Amino acid sequence: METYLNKLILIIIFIFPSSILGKDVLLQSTTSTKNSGFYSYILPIFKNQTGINVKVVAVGTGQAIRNAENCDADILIVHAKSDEEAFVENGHGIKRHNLMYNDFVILGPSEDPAEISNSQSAEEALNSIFKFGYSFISRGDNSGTHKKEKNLWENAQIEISDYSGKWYKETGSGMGTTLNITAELNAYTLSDRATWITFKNKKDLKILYEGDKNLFNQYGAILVNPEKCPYSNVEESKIFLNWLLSKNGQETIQKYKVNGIQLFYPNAN
Amino acid sequence: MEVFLEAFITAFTLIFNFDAALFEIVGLSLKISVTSLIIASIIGFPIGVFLAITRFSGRSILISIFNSLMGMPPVVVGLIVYLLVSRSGPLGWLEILYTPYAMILAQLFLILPIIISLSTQIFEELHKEYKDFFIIFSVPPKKSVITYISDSKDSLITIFLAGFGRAVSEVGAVIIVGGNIDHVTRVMTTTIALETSKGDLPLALALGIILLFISLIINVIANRMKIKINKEING
Amino acid sequence: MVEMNDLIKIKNLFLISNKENRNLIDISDLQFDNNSISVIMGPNGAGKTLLLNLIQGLILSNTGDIEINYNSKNKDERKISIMMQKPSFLRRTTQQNIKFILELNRDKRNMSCLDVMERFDLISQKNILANKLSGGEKQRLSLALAISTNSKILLLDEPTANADPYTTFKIEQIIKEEAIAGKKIILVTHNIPQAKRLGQDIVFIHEGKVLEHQKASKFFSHSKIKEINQFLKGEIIL
Repeated sequence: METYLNKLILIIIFIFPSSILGKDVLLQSTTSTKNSGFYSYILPIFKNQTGINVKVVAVGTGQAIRNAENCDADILIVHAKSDEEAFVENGHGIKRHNLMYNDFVILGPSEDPAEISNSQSAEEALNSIFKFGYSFISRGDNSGTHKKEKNLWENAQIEISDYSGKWYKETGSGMGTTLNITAELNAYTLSDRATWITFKNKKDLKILYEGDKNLFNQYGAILVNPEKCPYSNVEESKIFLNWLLSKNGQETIQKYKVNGIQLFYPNAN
Repeated sequence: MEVFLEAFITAFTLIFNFDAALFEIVGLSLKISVTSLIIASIIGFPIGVFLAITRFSGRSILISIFNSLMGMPPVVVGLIVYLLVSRSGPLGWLEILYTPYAMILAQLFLILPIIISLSTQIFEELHKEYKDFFIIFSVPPKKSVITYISDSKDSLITIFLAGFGRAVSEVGAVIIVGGNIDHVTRVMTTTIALETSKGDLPLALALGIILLFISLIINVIANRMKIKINKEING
Repeated sequence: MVEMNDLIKIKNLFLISNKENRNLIDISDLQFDNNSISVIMGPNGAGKTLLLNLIQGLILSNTGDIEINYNSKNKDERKISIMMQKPSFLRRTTQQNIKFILELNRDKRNMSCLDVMERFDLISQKNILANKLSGGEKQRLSLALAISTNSKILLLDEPTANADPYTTFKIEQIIKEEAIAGKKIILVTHNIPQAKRLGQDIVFIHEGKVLEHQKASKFFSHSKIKEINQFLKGEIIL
């Protein structure tokens, strides 16, 4: 019986060699960066130059931060500045760095029944939707996008939770799923530009409002604090972070284009 | 309807082009589910024999618990296993989070109740026939377990299929403990979820069709084996 | 009676029925000696099968002792085999059933599977599923399995009840061979001629009680007990 078990263990180890060999960098990040293909683009380049393997777990910002607090990450890249700062303040991260930015856009049905395309500001656009009572789909998952959206409703002085379940629907899901639902229901929603450009089920949706300073979307990168997380892979994650912030890394970010459109703007300085 | 047609075409194209990414994903799905199935059987069948043969107080409660665990939502199992193997969890030192091992563990928890519950029922039936024989000839426990399992081979195949189906079709557990990491922990179901969230519905559907197709093949093979064994046992 | 070492000593054995208010078995004193073929006889429902099952240990009595004094130190022999009225087998072929029991009881003196099948004339049935054998073939297989355990004591419950004449002959022959080889055999039968052929001492049971335990010659000719004489004449005893 013992030899049988030994054989079984050996077989299992041989079946999955890649997970045993070498130390990788574990990156917790958002669905918006992953779905846009950003990591599929940049990580092979980084591996080519340094030989270091980075594994990405993409979940909602809230979950990513939670995972990092549980030490299930070596490095964190999300887009919720106040949460990132709290993360560092509580000792989970070493320091917060600006990495890159893009913007959010407000999407809606091409006919634009709430007439938001002529708005002068993001709040005005949301106000029009509110007045019209037209369907709006929210992430509802404490992600960076969701927090930005809540912020905008607050600035417009609208108590949006009162309308949850009526014309305002909270999916509690990632950007992709939320976009699927928005496209299906031909409704309005707030999305980061990168996910939208690479999204394949656009149906009748179009970008109806963009450009407001308030729609600025900043991504931050933070190394997990090895004092709180003794098992973290400090060396290689440091190399990764420094590479991303370096001229080399920032230029690589700048070069990422989909359908001729640049998705992320490096701003490490 | 166009979506379905496009999906079928995509599915065939992927298969006949021997698309490397597809084969990698399919291979990983099968490796993980089959491994957890084998481990679950090694643990579960002897427990099934034990529950079928012995009588002790609390036995029926235990059986009821296993029965109800069969309906455990995969996402809950995933969450529980995540908390166990997270670096800040009790089994964090194993460092299996976001590796196929955690996925095998999660699927093991999903399949084990099925194996135990269903096999207990099979062995109980057999026990009615074998009880006197085993008492009269004083068959020792280890040999009893092996004999019960061996003589129920055909019914156990059905249980295998049930367990395999549950494992290979779930997404909730493997996505939490595996992280859907490219080339490492991405399996068929998590890929379908990913492509759906990217809006590529025809591709997601194509993968779904392929998954069904694979399940079908496995079922056909298993049923053939079952018929052959049945002929041996029942003439 | 010549004093031999008693192999089996039964004292104050009671088995009470769950359903009705009576004793199924009520035996205060019964012994079986070391070697011979003992036959247990009696009308239907007397408790013959129950007594065998109690000796084997398949059932437990409410009170009483069944003491077994093995002479031999051979561990293999310190067993009791029973051949049940309704035989049960593994869901396997004749040959596989025999192999199973032989492997359980690995012993230097044991015969090979082939030898066993030859002795019980089951070679042409070797690949047939045990549960699909004919009545007589099943009894031969059941006896073969019981004997293959190499136990000292062999309990047989109606071993030729379903048997064709050939099987009956074969089985009786083997029973005699085993007795000569030193086994203790206790046989339950309805068949009076068979009891006369095989039995060296007879135990007569009626309504759970032992009415007589006597050498065969005396039992069949000089019994003083009314019920026994009625039974031997073929009358129904109430």
